[in-house]
Amino acid sequence: MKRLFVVGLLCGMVAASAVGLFLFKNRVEENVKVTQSQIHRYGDPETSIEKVRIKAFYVVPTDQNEVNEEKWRWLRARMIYALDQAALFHEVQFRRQSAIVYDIYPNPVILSRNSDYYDAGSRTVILISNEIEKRVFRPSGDLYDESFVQSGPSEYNVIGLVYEGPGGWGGAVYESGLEDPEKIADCLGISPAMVAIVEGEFADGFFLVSNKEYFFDPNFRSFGTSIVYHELGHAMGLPDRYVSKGIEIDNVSASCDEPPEQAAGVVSVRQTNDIMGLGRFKPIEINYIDRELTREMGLVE
Amino acid sequence: MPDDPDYIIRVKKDKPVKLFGFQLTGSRLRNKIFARVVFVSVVPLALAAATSLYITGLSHRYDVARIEDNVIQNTRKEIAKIIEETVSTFELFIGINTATGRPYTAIPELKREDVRFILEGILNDISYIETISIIDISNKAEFLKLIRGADGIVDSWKFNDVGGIEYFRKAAGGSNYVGHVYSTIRGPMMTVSVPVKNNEGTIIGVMAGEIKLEPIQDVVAQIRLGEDTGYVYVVEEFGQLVAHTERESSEFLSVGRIPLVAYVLSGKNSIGLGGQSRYTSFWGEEVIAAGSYMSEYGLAVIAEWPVKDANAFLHLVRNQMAGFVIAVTIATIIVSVFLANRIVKPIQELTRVSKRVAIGKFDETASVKTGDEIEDLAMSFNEMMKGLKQLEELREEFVFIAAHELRTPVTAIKGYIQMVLEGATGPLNDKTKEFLTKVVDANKRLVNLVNDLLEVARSEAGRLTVTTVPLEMVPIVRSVLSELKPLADEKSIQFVYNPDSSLPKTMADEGRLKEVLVNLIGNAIKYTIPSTGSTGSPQAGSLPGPEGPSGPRTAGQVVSGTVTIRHEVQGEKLTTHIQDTGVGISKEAQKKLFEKFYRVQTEQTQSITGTGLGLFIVKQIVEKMNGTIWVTSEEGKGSTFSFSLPIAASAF
Repeated sequence: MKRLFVVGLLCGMVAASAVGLFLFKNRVEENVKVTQSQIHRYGDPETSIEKVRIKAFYVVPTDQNEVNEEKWRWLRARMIYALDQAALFHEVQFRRQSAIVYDIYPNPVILSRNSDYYDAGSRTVILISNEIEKRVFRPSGDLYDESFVQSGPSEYNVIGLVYEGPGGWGGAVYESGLEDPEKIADCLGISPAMVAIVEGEFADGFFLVSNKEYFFDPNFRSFGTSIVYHELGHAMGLPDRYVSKGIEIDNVSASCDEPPEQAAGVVSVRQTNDIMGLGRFKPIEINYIDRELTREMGLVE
Repeated sequence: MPDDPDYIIRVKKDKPVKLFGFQLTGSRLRNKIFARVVFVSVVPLALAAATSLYITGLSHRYDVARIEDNVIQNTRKEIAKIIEETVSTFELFIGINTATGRPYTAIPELKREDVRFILEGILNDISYIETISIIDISNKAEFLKLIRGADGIVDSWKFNDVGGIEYFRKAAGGSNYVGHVYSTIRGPMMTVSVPVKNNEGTIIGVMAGEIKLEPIQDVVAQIRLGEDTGYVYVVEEFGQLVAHTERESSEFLSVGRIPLVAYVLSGKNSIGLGGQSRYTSFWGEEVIAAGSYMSEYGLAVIAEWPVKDANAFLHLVRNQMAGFVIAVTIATIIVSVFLANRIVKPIQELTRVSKRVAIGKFDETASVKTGDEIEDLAMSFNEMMKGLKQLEELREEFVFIAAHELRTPVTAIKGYIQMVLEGATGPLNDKTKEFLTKVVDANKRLVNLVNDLLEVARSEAGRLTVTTVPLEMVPIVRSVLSELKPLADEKSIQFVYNPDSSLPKTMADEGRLKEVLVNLIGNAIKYTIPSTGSTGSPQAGSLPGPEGPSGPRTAGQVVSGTVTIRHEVQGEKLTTHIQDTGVGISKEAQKKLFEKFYRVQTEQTQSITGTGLGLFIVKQIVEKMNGTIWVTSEEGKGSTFSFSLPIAASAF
């Protein structure tokens, strides 16, 4: 009985202390959960873009002015600056979950034909990309450089072209069972002008920006880097977010099994002030990618 | 009567509890005093401490919550003030068109140079505005747009149609617009726009700009809690960090997964005592946090205060309180032990002395010096003991004198009757002889009684003299057996004694040793009752040979029992066993066998006479010779009395 009393006494004291300590404690909540983003091509979770490798070229049609060393050095410096800024912008927008690296081809590439051949609107980028694939990335090509064409196994490869001519275009490469661009366009519900057959196996995407307009012209230069990223964005599958005289569509499906929500010619673009919209005409330092787009690329915030 | 006092006064003993050799508890009274003193002092103290701790903790939590809430509210006000002031910067007053004398109806009516001057002035004045544009309400196109570039303020080359963009539509609808926060290389930014009205209040355009959140970051950077360890941060609606007291917002941290942040971003406030949360922060510190949502801007303001700092005061109070309680508890335990000892020790002293009195020892008084009622009790007890001692001395004196005085007449009676029986007064007839024989027997018992009483009286008076010298045990035993042989023969009892010739000498008093042996062997004979109607002993076949001291026996002779004497060397003691085949002694009787005047009363032994003092005297003698005595017995199977005496030192 006495033992019970002493044990009860001690238990009471311990319980009183425990109650005091318990009441002293604040409400404890679950700690932070971190969910890792899996950054992928826009609307295409199967294609990772956690590491994007740009193979950049300065491409010059045969009939353009001769490229001298000084001009090439100046342009190369501008390309490095633009790609560095684009990489930094990308890192900010994707919270360091995706990175861009680049290699600049050591010399300007003199294309095999005159400007008349290449200045074909949105097809310019396809024509030049196909030629670069053949001449640079194939061992049989006259500009083949084994060390340059190397890339990592899980990298998303983009051919970036600084063109000595007009324009700015970009696009991503999708696999299709169809061979006719008309049929593919019809299947996807977009303009045939937006579809082209790509030759070569290296690139997952490509873009082209005009040297004259976005690197050299003082009126464009302040937002030239934004244009570079805008076109690079297309190479990662991002759609335009502005209204233009062409065809506006903001849903490109890679498969005919998934019909697009919008039909060709219907203006349904959600206009934004981000880099894929009107923001492409402001400096990249104050630019951003709309969250609707980053979310569709797997960014979890 | 045994000397063990507990045999007389049975005391319940509890197992003592000792700490570092110091007895904390051990008796019931000490336990009670200890437990009750501890209970009445420590438990209320512990409860008071726990209650105090709870109230202090609650009060402190309230204080922490209040501080955090104040900081959050102030931060909210500062953020709202910054945004409102920025928005007001974009509010443009358009007066009368001096050329027409009427209000302006469209932005293009303004001179581009004038507009540029105004916009450039705003950009020059406010460093955190990055772009500013003015849009005509009709054609929805930018009329002028200035951008803060790396090389200074430049005109945008492109004047876009912004009709589909939210900031235009909202402002064109007449509302000020504050857009979502977005991340840029230069840090978090947002778009604001306001309607441009003419002097009649008609909306003719929209003024829009993109601003960095530097002012918010600057304000937040100055906010601290406690010892500069608490901080505040602002999170935009998708969980992206906008501003932090200690960290650059360009860290691009997404903190929307913090449960509190997620809760606040869902549009709820988590403030006050009930809203306080405690968790490990994004930066790895355990914090007490609260938060509030600014629905008008989609911003959450979170205050986090490291527990270590926020509760520093409480920990100090708690530690001091715990230290105080522990110190008081230890002091109480020590004091209660001393207090219990102070009360119990005099009582234990009285108990100890009373036990000695119980066994007739009055040589020690109770020494209690407490200066209180317990000392009075001890003094009364000592007085009582003195009286008892005097009574005991008188009793012993009386017994001794009575026994001594009785021995002379009974000895004389014995001698004279013996002479009458031997015919000194002439021939006696048979009847007279018979009667005188009975008188002789009765007188013999009386002599024995008187002798035993004298022996007991001597023992109790400390006059029992024993002088031990090295002795050979065997001759003494043989002598006693020889002396008692006639008695054994009378009852047909056979002695069995085959001693080892190499037995060591023992320290004993020869006379007293004989007295012991005579008593024990005599009892063995006495309590071995001959069987009747038997012509042969069942043990006859196993009897020892003619070497035994009881002499040769012939086959077929009736033997009613045996008394076996044997010796055993056990360490430094020589033990002698006297084993009989008598009636045996019950377990209960064995316990009292060596007490004064105790006699085993059974049907078989009721005819056997005795004083009941023999074994008491034997025990006194053996113990006086530094020996011990004991008995093992089983009813109906006989008894074995054993005593051990020290072996003489010369034997080693």
